[in-house]
Amino acid sequence: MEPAVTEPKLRKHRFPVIPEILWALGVQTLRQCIRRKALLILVFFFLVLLVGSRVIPAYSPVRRVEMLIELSLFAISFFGIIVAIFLAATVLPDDRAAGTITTVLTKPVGRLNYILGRVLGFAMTLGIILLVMGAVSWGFIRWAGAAAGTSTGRDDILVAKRGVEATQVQRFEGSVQKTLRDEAEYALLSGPKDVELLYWFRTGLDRLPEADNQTLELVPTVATGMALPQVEAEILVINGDDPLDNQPVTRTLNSKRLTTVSFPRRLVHPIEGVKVRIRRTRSEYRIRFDRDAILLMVRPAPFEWSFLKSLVVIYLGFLLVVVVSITASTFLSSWVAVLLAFAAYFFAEFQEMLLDFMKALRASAEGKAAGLFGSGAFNAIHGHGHGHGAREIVPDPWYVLVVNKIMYFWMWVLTHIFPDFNTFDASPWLTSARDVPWSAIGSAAMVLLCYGTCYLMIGHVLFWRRELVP
Amino acid sequence: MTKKPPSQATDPAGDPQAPAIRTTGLQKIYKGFFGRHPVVALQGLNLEIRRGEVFGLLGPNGSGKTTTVKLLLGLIHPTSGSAEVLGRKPGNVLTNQYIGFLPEESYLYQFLNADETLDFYGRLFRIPRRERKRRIHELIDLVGLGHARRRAVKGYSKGMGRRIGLAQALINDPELLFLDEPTSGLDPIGTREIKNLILELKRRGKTVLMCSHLLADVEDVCDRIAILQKGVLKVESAVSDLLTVKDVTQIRVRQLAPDALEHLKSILAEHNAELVEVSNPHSTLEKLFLRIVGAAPGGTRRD
Repeated sequence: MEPAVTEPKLRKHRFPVIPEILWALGVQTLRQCIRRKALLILVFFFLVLLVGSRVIPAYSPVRRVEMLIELSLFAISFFGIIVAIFLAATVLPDDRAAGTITTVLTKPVGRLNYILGRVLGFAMTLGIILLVMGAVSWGFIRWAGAAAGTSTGRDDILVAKRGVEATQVQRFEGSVQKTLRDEAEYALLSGPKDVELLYWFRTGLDRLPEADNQTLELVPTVATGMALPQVEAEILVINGDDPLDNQPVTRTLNSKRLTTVSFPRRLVHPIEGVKVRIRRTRSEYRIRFDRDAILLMVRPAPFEWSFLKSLVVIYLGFLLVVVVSITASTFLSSWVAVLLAFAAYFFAEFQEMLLDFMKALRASAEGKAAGLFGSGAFNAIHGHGHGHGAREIVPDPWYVLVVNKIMYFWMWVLTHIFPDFNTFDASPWLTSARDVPWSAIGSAAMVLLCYGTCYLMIGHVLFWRRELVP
Repeated sequence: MTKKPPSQATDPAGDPQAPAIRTTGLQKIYKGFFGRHPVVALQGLNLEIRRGEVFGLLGPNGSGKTTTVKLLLGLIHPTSGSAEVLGRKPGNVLTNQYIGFLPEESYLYQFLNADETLDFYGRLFRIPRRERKRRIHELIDLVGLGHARRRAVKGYSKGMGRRIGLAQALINDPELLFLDEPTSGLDPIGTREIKNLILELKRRGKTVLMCSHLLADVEDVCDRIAILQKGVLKVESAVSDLLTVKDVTQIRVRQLAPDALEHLKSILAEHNAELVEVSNPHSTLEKLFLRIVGAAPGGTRRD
């Protein structure tokens, strides 16, 4: 063996966190993840989407697309989180068990850099996985939209003429802009009398006010600055395909003011929302319109853009899962760390439910309400409150209260050491064709920053002095 | 992590006057779950390894050699006592800049090939890209893995793993090299090459701490040795001092006639010297092997 004659130049460290080393470890981790065949998950994802898009029942073409959006967002976050947990919770313990960590940590790396470099690597891996899954989903949604005769979230809202099949009727959001392009639409305003247009409104049902009467707003506006003639129209709100007993109202559509139509809440179809039929009854003028002259409502968020934003929100959630998993893996063996990370995810995801459960539990234990395991169940068994009239609520005996208090305490702890994972879910906005607000991304980023920093600090403290014996 | 005394800040390689390694009363007790079944791995080790020497740590299996190395690298922490490596506490990031470590088994990332492995470790030292490439090339030639540089480490034999492990330890041209069983799994040629390399490193003023239970290896390259048994230091001295049998004089002669031998015996008898042995020396098997295999064409780089 001939000796190496050159001496490499070595640079000095100035800061505890060194970008080049983070990058080296990040690339290494990415390579490790890819060669561990983490990208295989994409095949499963593709299959789920393929099967899902076939299986989704055809309530309506619009609903179908919506369900596909929901399914793909769910699948993205489900598969992403599985990959995140299985990679991030196992790489460090495996590195420790295989002894490879000793060769890394005897280099001028430092344990903080090691952890952060790993985080970076997982972030890159998940970024790639997310981008591929996002692109595939986007393709599926677009494809389903095209097949259904709708184009999701685009501003060209389909208008069905009388007698046209329901597949060609398109959703018309509360926040949707309508550009009239079709000859029939011009005809509504200026053509012969018997033209009838059918719009499909699906304002987010969960966000409709509880009041009995709902209001629909129609705002014909003129894009080119040309005055719109007044058009008198008959407006009929229909539940699904069924006109029920609703009477059409006659309104004057005018670009200068909002035209509102009230209708009873029962007309809101649970799945399809409401349909509105507009038929022109009388026209004063006959005017030629330029194309794209009439806007009916506000522009919806372009689907691509809000989809991208919701992917960002999901990605921030992935990063939090990575950080939690790495923190668990600094002091646990790989499988225990995987279990703990899954438990953490469970508590984060179902936090709202658990909090409600906790409140019910507490109230019942204190005798304030008949509840789940509290006085109701206990008294029923012990026959305390079986009077014939209104049942008397009696506080539980002390030991039930103590058990309740302990359970409450643990629930409280578990729901507070993990953030509410609904922060990382943007599907409500996306499925109702609304733009994902920047505040959603902001709050997700803040949650990640606060909780992530805390977890990493805990992980670092636990790992800093840990003995590395393979 | 640790606060450095001001004297150390001036020289990044540590205090040049300080010994390469110094331990005082170094003790390590491994504890089981909840402190049960404690095992004393190392007991009160006092050791001083000077700069530029090749130091051998000997001992049977489980005598605390690897524990010592791990303590010196900061991978584990002493139960009591202290250690200093290049004048700093073990595990210091600054010290690691000047250290090379070949672990007991070649712990390698199985999914990388030789080039990628060395590239990764080179990046951890932040060696500039061009220099890193050159260095990797040199080291792969040095350890004789040119034919397997693009093959995943997963498929390597133990000896090849050893070689790439050694290259990994040398990537930063370390001042201080920890070699834990460097020759295990290597064929005699590889063993000889590693021994030559260690001697070359010594010639260039590097310090080497080598753990082994293969006595021939230690004898050939080490200046000083320490023998550990059950975590206790038994002997620490220069190899030449330990192995020289002072009351025996050896005369080696080529082609001595039988008459002359009788004459010599009579002279020895005149001086009242006891004749211990007259024999023809054996060559070692190692030398024989090297002569046969080393002479065969293309036989030196096999694994």
